[in-house]
Amino acid sequence: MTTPSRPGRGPVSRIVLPGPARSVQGHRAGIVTRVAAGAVDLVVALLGVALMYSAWAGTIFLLGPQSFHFPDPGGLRLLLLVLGLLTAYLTVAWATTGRTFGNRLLGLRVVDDGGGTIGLARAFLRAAACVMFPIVLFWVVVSRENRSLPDVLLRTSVVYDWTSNGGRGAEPTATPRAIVLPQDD
Amino acid sequence: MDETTGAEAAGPDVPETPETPETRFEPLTALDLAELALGLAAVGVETVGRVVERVRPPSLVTGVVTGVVTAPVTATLTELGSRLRRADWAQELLQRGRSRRGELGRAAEVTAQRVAAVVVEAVLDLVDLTDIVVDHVDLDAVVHAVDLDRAVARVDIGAVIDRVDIDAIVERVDIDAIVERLDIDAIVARVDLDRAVSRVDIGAVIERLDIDAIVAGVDLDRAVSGVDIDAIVARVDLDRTVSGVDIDAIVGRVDIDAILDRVDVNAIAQRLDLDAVVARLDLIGLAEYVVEEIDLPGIIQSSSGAMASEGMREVRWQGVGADERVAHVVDRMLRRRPRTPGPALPANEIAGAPVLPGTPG
Repeated sequence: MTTPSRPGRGPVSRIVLPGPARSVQGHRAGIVTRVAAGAVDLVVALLGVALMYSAWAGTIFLLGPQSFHFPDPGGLRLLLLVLGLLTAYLTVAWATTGRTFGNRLLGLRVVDDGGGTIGLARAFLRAAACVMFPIVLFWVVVSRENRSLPDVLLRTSVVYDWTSNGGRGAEPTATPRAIVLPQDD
Repeated sequence: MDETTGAEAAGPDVPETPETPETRFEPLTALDLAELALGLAAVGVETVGRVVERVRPPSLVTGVVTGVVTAPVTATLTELGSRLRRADWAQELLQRGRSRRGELGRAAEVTAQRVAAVVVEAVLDLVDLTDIVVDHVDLDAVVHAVDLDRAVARVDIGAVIDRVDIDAIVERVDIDAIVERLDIDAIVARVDLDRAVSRVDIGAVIERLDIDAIVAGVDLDRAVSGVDIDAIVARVDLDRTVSGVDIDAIVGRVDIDAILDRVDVNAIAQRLDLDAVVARLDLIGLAEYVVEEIDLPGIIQSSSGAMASEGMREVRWQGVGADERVAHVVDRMLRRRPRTPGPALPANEIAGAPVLPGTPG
């Protein structure tokens, strides 16, 4: 458990964010943004695996250019590699800054009940659950509190936080306003 | 006059009386005869008195004669009459004589009163009654014996006052002499001013005062010139006075707009030495304070993630909107109220009023 912070509601957000966006900072995010962030993270993991595969293939090419051929790790091994890399990536990201690249892109942050970053253990458990059973994420659709099953079990939350570094600044002095829907056009 | 005539007529019958009683009643004694003689003498004396009264001799002589002669004669006649009544032949005469005696008695009494008044007056002329009273009367004992309260209670003070001519009395009084004899200091020392003042209706007194006339008669310049303003100000507790003033109420009564309308702001601005003001400001310190408060490094760091990319902000905003739409649709499908995800807090606190993250509980 880290020191409590106020994701997305510090003075920075008051200055750099537009008014309608400020009203939702700190609120729990819905299914669309979280799935989108997960997809981005998955793409990141895939890119990472691809990068690793490229590095591996490059290394083989350098060692024996005449006998070079692309290595074939096998589908299962690749899948496990992707899932493992994704789990590690999510764990490190959530335990340190509370946000992955997908979270940053979509303006999300994973926090505990106090608003701070979650610990390494909870980050790993949450990442493993989300990677192995992505379906648990969709409990957000039904939950009145926009919580997935890992959120409920681990007492974590995914909130809107459009600032790059939450947890700094003054204590908020006003209750959050209602969420303002953007224009449909 | 007729009775008098009758009485006088009875006079000649008197010599007959010694004869008749001797036949039917016991004989007259010498005493009866004496009374009868005295009664006849009284009639004669009365007749003489009437004559004398017509002549009007000096009242003193008349009073003396009447007082000295009539009283013993009347007593003697009464005794004589009681003896004469036993004689039947003389009853009628005695009746007449008795009534005549009553009249004589009353007349004698009136005459005695007159004589007494004259005698007393003559005696008082001869005697200094005041000296007698002073020498022989214990006035203190007399005064002690008098119930003055009761006497005063019976006096009609109002009527007495009505009869007194106050103006005339006052005109005769030498006020200056009285005042000179007064020891004002001693009188004032004995006066309970507090009690007297408490009985005064200040409001009524003030209402009767013509303040304008009083003020018009005051030479304010002269009065002020004699006042040591500095000494007064030195004795005034300004802090205490100011603390009792309701500044808010005073300010509330001031028409700020009217005052501002009369103020030439431009003229004031022209007279301001802004350069001097700026020179006195610690601009560097102020800038450092502002940077410290607004976390300028945080803003610069955020610019890459929050401000730099307008496209990313649009993506995030669209994501938020999509979240809301999905939640709204699901809530309608589940026939429940729209969800209020609220800030990231424990589930048991979300149901209530929104609580900000970081707050205890």
